[in-house]
Amino acid sequence: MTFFNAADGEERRAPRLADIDRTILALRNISKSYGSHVVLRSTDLEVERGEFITLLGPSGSGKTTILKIIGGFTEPSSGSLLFQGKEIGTQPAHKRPFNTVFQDYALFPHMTVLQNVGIGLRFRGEPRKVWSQKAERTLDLVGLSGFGARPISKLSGGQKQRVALARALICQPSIVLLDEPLAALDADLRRQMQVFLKDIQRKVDTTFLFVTHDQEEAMTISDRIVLMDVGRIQQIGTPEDIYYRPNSEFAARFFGENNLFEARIGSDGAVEFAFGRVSPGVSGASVGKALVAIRPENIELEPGSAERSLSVQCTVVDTYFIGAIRKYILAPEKDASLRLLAKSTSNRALHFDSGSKVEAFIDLARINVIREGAS
Amino acid sequence: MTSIWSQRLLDAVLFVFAAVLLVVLYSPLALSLVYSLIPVENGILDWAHPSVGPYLRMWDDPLIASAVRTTLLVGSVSVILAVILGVACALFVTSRLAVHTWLIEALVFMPFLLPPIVTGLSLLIYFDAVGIPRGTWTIICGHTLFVLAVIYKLVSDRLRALPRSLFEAAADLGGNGVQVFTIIVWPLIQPVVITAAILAFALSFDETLITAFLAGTNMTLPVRLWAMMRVGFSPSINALVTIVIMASAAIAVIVSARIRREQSEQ
Amino acid sequence: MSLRALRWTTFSALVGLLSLLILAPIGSFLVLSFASLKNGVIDHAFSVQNYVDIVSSPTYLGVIWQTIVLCAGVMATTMMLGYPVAYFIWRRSPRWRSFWLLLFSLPLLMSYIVKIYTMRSILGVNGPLNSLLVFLGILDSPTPIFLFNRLSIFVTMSVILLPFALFPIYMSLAQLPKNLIHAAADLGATHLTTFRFVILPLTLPGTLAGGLFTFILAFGDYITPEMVGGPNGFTVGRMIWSQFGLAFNWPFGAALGAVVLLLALTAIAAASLINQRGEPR
Repeated sequence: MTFFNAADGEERRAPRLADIDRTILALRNISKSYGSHVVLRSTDLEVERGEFITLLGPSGSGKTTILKIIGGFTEPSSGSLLFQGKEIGTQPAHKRPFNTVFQDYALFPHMTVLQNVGIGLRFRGEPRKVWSQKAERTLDLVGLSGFGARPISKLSGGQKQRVALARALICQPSIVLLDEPLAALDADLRRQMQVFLKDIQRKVDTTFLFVTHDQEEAMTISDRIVLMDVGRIQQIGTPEDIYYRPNSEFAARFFGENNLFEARIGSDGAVEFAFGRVSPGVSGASVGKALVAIRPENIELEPGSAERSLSVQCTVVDTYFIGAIRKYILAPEKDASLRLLAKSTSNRALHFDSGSKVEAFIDLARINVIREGAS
Repeated sequence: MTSIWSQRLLDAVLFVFAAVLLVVLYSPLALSLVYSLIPVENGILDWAHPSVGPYLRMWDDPLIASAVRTTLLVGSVSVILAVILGVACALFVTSRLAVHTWLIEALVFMPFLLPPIVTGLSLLIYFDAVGIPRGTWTIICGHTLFVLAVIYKLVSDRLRALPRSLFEAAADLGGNGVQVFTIIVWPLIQPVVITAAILAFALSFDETLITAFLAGTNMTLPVRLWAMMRVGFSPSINALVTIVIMASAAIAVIVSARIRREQSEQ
Repeated sequence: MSLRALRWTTFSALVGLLSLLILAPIGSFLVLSFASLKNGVIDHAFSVQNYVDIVSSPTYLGVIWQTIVLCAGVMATTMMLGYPVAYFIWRRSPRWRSFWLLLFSLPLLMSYIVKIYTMRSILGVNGPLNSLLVFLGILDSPTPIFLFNRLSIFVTMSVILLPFALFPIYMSLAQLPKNLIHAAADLGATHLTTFRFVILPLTLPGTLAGGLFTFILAFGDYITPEMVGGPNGFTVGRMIWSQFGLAFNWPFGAALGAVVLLLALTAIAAASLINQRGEPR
């Protein structure tokens, strides 16, 4: 069982001294309000050099605001922005060593592909020979060799996306900012582009800061995810960290499907919830209300190899076949108003129909207890 | 349900109505063309002797020639000034710097929306109070203010149609203000500026009510024509008038074609 | 320069320049309207004499009233003539619409002064209108009643201003949501019923706004009345023009101008009120 005291999240966010060198960008106390409307609460964030870090959250979570503040398009209401240890908050956007890939691509309609890609170097005063050559090479990098002379209007969505990326890469920025760049693409193309982006990031060995609201996308490509909601960072961690060890109800619900139950932590640290009392519980936990989160895939319908499991007698209310996975909605006999969601791979020999009685085995080593702090 | 026949009847009636009105609208212009080619004696048209004489004699009159020159000068200078001021206002209003845009728009549209007589007399009184004598420059001033609204409206509409991200991208890629304007913004608004300039030139060319207040000895063509008309008419006016009509028609067609092309491209 | 400083510098520069050229003249003419003419010289001492003269004199009030009536007539005529034309254009297929719109808008650019001049020829005793009416047998012999009176001002202005009224009417028709018409038909309305209960009420605000715009233009016109109005066709516009010409009473002209301005602002306010009330509830 993992236990997560909300306060622990704070610890994980604070910089570990030994890693300061790896930090390329730091936000300290950055916040943004429009009048009385708070869009981003006081935020601290460290971005490490060379990582693919994703700001993930629903709309209104503040993720785009952070990106715009970093890029220089929005002034923060407070706080400082440190790039390699030096304050850059006062620098205007066009002087910052970051480049952005915009959601609507923002390609200049009156220019060809090559002119669009080379524009960053052209702004720096590079002669035509230099910028056009470099632009050609960057187009090769993103797999658009030979597209140089094409007008923007004749490109498909995916191609525009790659031109926008090439345009952002040519100046060799220290950080590439990506503002929900794949939002306008259809599902298949999106998946291809996700792999493509990750690939490119490794090739050019640059820090990518990616914004999205799609949790599957975030999990696919990120080295680290910054989960946000209502203007605040909820949790930071690798995709696995956050998926298996959410530190809040929000985090637990945001990714995939989860079973959540109210619980109480007793003075002996034992956790008591709908299906029983788990003891020994967690050490160092504070007494009071908590939440127990159980991933559906950690509920087995046949006795498995788990060291400790909690068994619950249930009736199958409904079952769904979804290709690789079979889902079961179970009603515990103890309290038929509750529901348990279990998932197993569909190629098991044994499967259960609606109405049958089963025994659900909850793997205790894999449940999360979330103690929501006063936040 | 309405029957097909009643629809057809409605359309036919409307068509006739519109056609009649069209004839009425164009009759002054068509007749002017006729009068320039067919000599008139006491109201009787001498169809037997059409002649392009009036067209050739047009330039003999020094007053007319000077008026045409003045009109062209005033038109060009006013349009250039209005473009500079109008584009500046449009850029400001649609940029990140924008503040209290209602005030700027109210000021820009005022000379165009108020009755020309008010604009004309207010400028006359103002120039007199400030000590500027009536002349070509006062006319230019009046025309610039008058066409400013047209330039501003067309350019600001175009700028508003551009996605904000374009400007952010330009800054993001390292362009400073001047670069963003010359390399990104100007090429994108240039077609509209040209269309607006042509339209403004046509409006300036025809402007009479304001100009009459502001003209000194140098008059624009419409004002000169008015002065001549009070005295009597001569065929040379008709010829001139026909040319003006033709030029206006050409300009109108060009402008509407350009506007339609702009709209379909967006 | 910081963003804030740049913003306010540019704003002040633009507003300053525009105010100097637009507000200042209006201000100066309003100020002059409170001056007076004494022995051929302008006395700038504050005096409301001009306004008193205007509202207390039956002559001036009469001219103002007559002008209002005349221009209201022009407004009504252009609206009534313009509506069917706009309707006609609206019923065309989209391809043809722009053609017809262009055809009706060309006259706008084609020399205002020329139109007045030619109308004078047309309406004259020896002109084509008389010839046509005699030819058709409606008249026995040419008559001078068409020219140099209020009727001729009315007719000339209507011809010139028709396209100005036409466009707002067409715009309001074009902005009608198509599904409303379909809904009406779906509910069993004939064309006439749809027109009466759906189209007309919804386009009335736009039409009135167009009409008011025409009214303002007509009211301030001084060239047309002078060219075709004759001795009887005296309008406010002509009165103002003569103050700056022969009569040379600038303060009085300014006061009259203020009256025109007031009327124009009232009309604009009325037009926007009508448009707002006509907005979808």
